[in-house]
Amino acid sequence: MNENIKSGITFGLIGGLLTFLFGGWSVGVLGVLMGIGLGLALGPRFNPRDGWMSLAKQALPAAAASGAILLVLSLLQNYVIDPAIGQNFEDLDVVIPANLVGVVGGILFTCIVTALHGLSEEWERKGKIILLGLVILAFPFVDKFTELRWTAQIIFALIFVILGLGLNIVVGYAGLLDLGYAAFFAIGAYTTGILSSPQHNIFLNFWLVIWIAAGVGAIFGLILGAPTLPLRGDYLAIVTLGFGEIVPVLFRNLIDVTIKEPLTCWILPLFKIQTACITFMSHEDLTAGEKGINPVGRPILPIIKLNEAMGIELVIKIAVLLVALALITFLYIRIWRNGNRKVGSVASYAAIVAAILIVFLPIPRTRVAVFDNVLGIIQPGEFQSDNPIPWYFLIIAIILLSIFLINRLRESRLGRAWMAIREDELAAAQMGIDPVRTKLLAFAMGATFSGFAGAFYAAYIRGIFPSVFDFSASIIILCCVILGGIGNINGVIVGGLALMTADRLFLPALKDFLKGLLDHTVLPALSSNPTLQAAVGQNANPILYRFLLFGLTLVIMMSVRPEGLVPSAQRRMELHAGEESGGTPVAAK
Amino acid sequence: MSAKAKSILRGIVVAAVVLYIAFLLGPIAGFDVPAIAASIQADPKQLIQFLIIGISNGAIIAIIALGYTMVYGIIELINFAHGDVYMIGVFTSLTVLSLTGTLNTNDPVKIILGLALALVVSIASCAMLNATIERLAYRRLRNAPRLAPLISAIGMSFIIENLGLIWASQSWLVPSFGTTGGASQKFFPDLLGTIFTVNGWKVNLFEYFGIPLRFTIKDLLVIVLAVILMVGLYLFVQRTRLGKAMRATAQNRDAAKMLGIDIDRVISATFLIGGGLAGAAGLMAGLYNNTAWWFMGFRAGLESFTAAVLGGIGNITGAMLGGFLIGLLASFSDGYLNARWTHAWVFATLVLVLLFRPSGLLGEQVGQKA
Amino acid sequence: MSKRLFVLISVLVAASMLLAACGGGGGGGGATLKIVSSLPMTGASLTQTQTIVNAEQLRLEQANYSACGGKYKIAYEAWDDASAALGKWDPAVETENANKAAADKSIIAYLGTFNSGAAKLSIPILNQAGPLVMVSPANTYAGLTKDQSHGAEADEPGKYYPSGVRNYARVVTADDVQGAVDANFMSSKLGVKTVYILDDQELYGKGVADVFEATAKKIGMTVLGHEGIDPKAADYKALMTKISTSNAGGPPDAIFVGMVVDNNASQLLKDKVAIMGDNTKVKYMGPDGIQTQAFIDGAGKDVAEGVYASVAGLAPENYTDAGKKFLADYEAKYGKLTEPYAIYGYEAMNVTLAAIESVCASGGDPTDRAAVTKAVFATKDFNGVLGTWSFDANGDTTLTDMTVYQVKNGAYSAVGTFK
Repeated sequence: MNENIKSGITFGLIGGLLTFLFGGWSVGVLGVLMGIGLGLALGPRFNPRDGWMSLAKQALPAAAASGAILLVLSLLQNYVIDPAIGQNFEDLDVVIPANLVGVVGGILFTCIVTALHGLSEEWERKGKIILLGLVILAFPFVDKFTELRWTAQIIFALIFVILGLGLNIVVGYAGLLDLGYAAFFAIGAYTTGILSSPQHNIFLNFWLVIWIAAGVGAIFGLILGAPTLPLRGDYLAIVTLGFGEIVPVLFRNLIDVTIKEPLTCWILPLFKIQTACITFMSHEDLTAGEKGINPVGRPILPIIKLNEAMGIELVIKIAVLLVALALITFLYIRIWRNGNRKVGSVASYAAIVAAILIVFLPIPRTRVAVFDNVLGIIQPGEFQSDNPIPWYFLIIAIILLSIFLINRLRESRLGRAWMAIREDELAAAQMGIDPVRTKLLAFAMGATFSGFAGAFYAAYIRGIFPSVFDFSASIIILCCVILGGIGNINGVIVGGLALMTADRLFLPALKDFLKGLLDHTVLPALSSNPTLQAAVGQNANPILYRFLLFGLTLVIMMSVRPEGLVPSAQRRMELHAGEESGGTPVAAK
Repeated sequence: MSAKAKSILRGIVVAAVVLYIAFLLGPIAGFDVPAIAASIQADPKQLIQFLIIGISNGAIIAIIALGYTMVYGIIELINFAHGDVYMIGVFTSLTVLSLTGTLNTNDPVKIILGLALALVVSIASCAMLNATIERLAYRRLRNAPRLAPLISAIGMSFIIENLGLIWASQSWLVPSFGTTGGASQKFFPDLLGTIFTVNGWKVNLFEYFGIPLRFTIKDLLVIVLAVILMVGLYLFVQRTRLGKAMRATAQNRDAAKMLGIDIDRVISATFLIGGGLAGAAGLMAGLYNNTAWWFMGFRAGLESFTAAVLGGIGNITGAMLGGFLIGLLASFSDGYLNARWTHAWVFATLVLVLLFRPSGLLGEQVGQKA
Repeated sequence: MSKRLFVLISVLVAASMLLAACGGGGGGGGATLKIVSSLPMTGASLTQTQTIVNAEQLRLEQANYSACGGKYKIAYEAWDDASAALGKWDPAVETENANKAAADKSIIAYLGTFNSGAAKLSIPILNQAGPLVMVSPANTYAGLTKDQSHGAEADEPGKYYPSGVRNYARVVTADDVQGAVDANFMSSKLGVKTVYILDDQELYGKGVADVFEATAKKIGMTVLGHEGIDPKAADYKALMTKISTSNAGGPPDAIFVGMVVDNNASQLLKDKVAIMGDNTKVKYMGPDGIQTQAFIDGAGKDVAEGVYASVAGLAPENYTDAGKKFLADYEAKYGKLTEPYAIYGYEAMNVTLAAIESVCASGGDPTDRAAVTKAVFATKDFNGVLGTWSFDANGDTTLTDMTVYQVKNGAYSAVGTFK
């Protein structure tokens, strides 16, 4: 059996075993996803000069093997596993199309993705991007149709992806280990909560608040970063840990704040000078403590949410938006021709600001029936918690923006300064890099992205509670970064998705699966021996092993890929410097 | 005005501003000077009482911190699972005490024998556990990126916590665990108190001297044990061959290897000793606080690691000092400031100390490491 | 190679069709109504939530998982609103649970939540989904149902019910009743003049403690102090030392703790006894969060002796026959019941099933969420395991009996029932 068939079987096995856990339509979705994965794995093994048709043909046996395994396991799930874990037999109008889609789609996508490798390098890249874009675009709709309800979990994973991207600047680029990054997450979320909730009766628009949250995050990045400057290595880590511990305590406890001016209130009276005591704040509840701030305002898309009375405003808004867009396009074209990029970027940023301003115009609170439900999927107006799709696209947009900004940052003078500091601070300082400024900016930039994540989180959950932001959150974010591949944007994304879907999707499903197996198969089988049955029932309950499973996930992932799932090219070269050829072929063809 | 006078003046101004801000905002977090002064005035001897409580609590933190500082010194890894090894120490000793019937006896001799056995078993099993963790989770990552073992350590910490959770529900091992599941706190009987009350001795040693304060046999025991362990460890590291090998490895692993030191063995030994200390701390904490809880390792680990850093990581005396300092801080904050802010005060002090001594209290103030 | 595989696949597909054809035709037998519970089934809370789930399942087994004379099947799922990463209830998971329930049309009741904070997030979601009725076996935060006059915030409870219709009911008595009864009990029955209050800083513990403080001040007790503790600290000896001299150099008459057992409650008591002696001299009292065997097991029998705790409802010896039967049935199936919330779990399921039956009886459609919600709120003079009680317009139980228990010989036993 050759390598390709082996890979096919591996992917089929992974997909098939996952269907055990999720059942229903999952076989269709998993089949397609595994197909794409298999295609990505197979592509580089073939000679691109054979042409894409030939590549697709060469991939066929492996794809077929994968599909066959998937089908066998999926049927096993329907006929053997489901009864064993006490699930009802699924409807045939789900089973048949799901299996068909899984098998046929899987094979098809394997061949397509493999065939991409036979195209020219540029087209291969474009093809992959288009494919990725399609998957991202289609995912929530497919998810809605198949009723798998993965979108909400993916959104949550993506929040951690943003946090990971921000932390990656501090830890990955600048090399400063931060063990209290959740503090910035908390600051972003609380800024949003305080500025758009009944807590202080301030109701700012989400689109404004998210930028304020990012700004406040950056400011606190500077404030909390400053004391760490003289520190090195893990002393720095422990101070960040300290801030990470202090900040949630602050948010939890600032519920009864009284500020009295000390001179007039007790220092002067100490010297027998009687003065009137000046009080700045008396028993103010700033953060609502453990009660939490709730409900936090949600984003609104005003262009769609209008009523008849607002017709003129609608026209104005659309007109302004169109003018702004035209301006941006025009300026970009001009500048592209003339090569004066600086003027261009300033002007286009101004245009973007103008476009954003439209969003802040007053918004009527009533709904319009005509626009109420576009395509039956996307509701206009305020984002609702029962419909994850707008949230999904919002967070995808934030991530794309973050990736864009971080890429620009990394390639800028500042980004190179970070990496210089990471490699050798002394040498970097000798080369004229100001370590103080560079490090502070790393903290500030890192905190900016957690501001985005915090704002999104607060609006999405609608409520914030201080216990969410404690040490374990910092640790999980750090895990996402290191697990994925420190210093590498793609790695962080993969790491965040892998870890959070493990916690939110995979492990709970595994738990339910094992529990079903225990209750419906294992325990009845032991009925002849009541003591053993009781002992097994008490101790084998998978609910009890949730932490263990999570811990095992971390340990196993780390020992399999110590450099992370998708290591940065640089680190990969460092690690495999002495070897003839690395385990994973580097992008060369 | 001379430059010196200028700098002194500037120092005074800065200090005044900092003090003013502390006085202005401090009361939010319980730092209310008039109130503190009033309560000290009302009962000055309480100050000493808080000191005693702080030192006893600090002693336990200090011993766990020793394990952290040793492991860190030698492989530069924050062994997150260390606090949970300590938790396993508590459960091991409790189980040994239960299996030997020590929990149900009033006979002082039996209790002391049981405690001695529990100490030995707890030290041995925690040492083995810690070394096993190193073997399974860290060794293969020795040449991996620096932060990879950290994640492994966090994973191990989750796993051990879960094991503690399961352990605490096994009432056939320890009947007093009851039937309420593993999540709740379990009682660790006050065996030392039993010895004393059976013999008609006073549990509070100060009563013999007529001092109106509490200094129980438990306080004495944890403090004495902590000092003994620290001195022993110090001598071990300074005098013995293995200790020297450890220091050499900590200083430069490659050079140590070239000199013929078996690095793997030295690291294993370090983990064994660190685990053993955690086991000893487990029994002590069990006797002192009378609690066994699957989650107790988390906070203990966090505080002792902080203690190790505060004292200067890699430095044995520093870890002790850091531990005592944290114990004292927590005790004074509970007593004079406000209990709900204690955790924040501990870490705020840590930040302040590191600002002025960037390598910890006793850490070598070294320059750039190449 | 590839040919053979294709043949294999076609055979498999054909086989699957064949199998499917044979396997079909299952199901049937009336529509299924689904009831879900959303409780933190991870880590520290599991001890209590597991007994709630057990009790709910017990009630369903007694109803044979069917309703309306077998016309409807009832399915039950116990959802977890905790995440491993957080180790306790996670706002994101609770929100997703509520959304999942809102989307699944076969779900007609949501039994939860355990933590009041979680309810704050899920009530508004379910309120706009039908509304889907929520019956909580454990939330006691007053603001979820009551207005400012009961100590809630100004915008409560309106902000939880965007559709304007109430959909949240609870079978437990809220904090405002409990804290007040506790204070009155201490003052009149125990003769306490000075009291020191501690809480675990959580919604539940602080809520009870705040009401206790207000009532205590009103009825003339001296409150020496009210502090939040750090629920993860290793010990509280320094804090207890401070309290031991807070009453003009001496200890207070009593200490009231607003907390749940998971938040280090046993440790707090141990340190109190170590510093201030047993619970006869300085009395020690808490709400139902510490009325569990786990609290006594954790603190040790001798240390816990004499501690008071109050629980809503009657004492077991005064239980109605239904209540006594529940206890017997539960213990026959799951072993000795030592947790206070199981009976509420049973009652929550009980009242939900009764509402479904009443919808059927009046010719309504129990798959209609609004009808079930209405029926739950229409519960009047319900003969349940907790006694005979009704839901008021807010969805609160009319039962305001509080039974005070005291630890005697290592177990809680009832002292008396108060209003």
